[in-house]
Amino acid sequence: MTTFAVEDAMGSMVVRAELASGIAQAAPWAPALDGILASQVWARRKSEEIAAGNYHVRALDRENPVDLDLPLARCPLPGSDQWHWLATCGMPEQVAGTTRVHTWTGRVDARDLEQVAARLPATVSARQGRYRARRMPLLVAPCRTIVWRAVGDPAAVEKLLAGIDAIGKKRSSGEGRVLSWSILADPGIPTLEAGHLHPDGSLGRPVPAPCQDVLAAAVTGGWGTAGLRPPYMHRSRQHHLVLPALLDAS
Amino acid sequence: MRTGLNLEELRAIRGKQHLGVKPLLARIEHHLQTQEGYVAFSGGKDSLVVLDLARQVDPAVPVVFFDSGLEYPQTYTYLEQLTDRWRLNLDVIPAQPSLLEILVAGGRWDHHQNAGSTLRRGASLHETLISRPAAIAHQRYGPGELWGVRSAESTGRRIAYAHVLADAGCGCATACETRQERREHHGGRIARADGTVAFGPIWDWPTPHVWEYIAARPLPVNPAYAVLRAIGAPPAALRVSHLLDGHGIEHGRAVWLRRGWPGLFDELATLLPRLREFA
Repeated sequence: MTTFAVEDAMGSMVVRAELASGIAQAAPWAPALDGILASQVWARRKSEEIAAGNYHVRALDRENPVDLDLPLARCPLPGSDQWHWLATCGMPEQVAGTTRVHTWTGRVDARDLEQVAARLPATVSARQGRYRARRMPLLVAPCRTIVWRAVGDPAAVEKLLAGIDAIGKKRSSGEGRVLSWSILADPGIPTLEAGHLHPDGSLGRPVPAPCQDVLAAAVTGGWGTAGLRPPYMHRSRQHHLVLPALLDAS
Repeated sequence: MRTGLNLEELRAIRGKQHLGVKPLLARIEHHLQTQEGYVAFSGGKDSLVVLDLARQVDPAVPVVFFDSGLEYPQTYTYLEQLTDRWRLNLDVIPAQPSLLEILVAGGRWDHHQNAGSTLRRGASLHETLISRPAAIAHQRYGPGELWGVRSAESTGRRIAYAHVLADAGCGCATACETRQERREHHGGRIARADGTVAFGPIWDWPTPHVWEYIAARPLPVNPAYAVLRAIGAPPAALRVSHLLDGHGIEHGRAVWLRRGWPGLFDELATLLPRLREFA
């Protein structure tokens, strides 16, 4: 596997989160490390802007969201348009059985609507339309730890992760509780491998064709549309990519 | 080496009790003789059972697939394979415009578009996906229709079947005396105002009964079911129809789509951004 030069402070590392009971997620792969770091940087920037009295626009609502500066190396393989951070999505370890289906419910808060809307219709139906009540499945991977691999500055990554106590969906309901983080530099892992592949050799993140041409990962999630770098869900970040290995297929 | 209980084997054994369907076949035969028509096949488990029953009566019965343009990828390959294997007399009638075009134009899936333009243009989902293609199929094959609609699927369907059964007159040589006789002889038949007649042979089958019949025959099912099972979808979520429409979205339909078909989901979400709110 190819190794390439990175900045002095940067190198291959393994990040591990010890979880209370598992992680809830919608996609068939766990959250990406660069996504988690970007959300932390974004949250800090947002609170600073609001504290300074500036109006804050969500990243998803911006035409061209900025690429936040993360303590990670960039992949040198794709062209400038399809660059991505060298960091994988999470891989659950010590898995206790198959995916569990929890349920969450939600209904529109009429009092809240009265506060935020100048004018309301006579009735806001909870049975139909966009404000209908929901009873939704929540897919939870029961596991003790999640592992990521990345190329970057371990000290800076550790500093950012220290403030995160839950990951994944429905964090406020107790899902994805993180008990501890461990960040270990591991110069023995070739940088390209650390930035793209899970420890078992399967593809660990969505990648454009030039990456897969070099990596030739045997286990992938096939081709499909996916986000390439944070903010992952923004339209400008969606590309036709090779998807990471699917959790449910293992 | 196989270990433990094989559920498919268990279903097949239990399903053998449902294979005695002679009275049902007689009703299908009568329906096809009097109304002609076609089998409406969606690629799902219910219409598969109906198709199998209809083929026992008439192997060359016309089979119509209403293509919404937004079906599971597996459905199209399954349809091709089933057509080859069973030598189906298949007719595919595409929706015009497609379901995706209607959803995008409607604006309801994007906060930044005005909702309601679909209704102003007069393209309702029901008309585009059901009424118009069905009218074409009736024109080609006659007023009859065999479908897999079951009363256990929703309250609306249960009420519809209950109403038509209550209103059904008994023209049997020996008048039906018990409720069970009325259900067996007259249940599942819906005569519409436009002269078309739909008959759901399995209208009163519960869901496990359908899977047991499939296992007992055994019938090849749409591979989309295997994907849904692999990602942990519970029995109530094992439904194969359009990838997306307004139904069941509040019960997690998009969650299963996101998990089982992640690339497809993200592609749809670029056109229908609010889809992410439901996953």
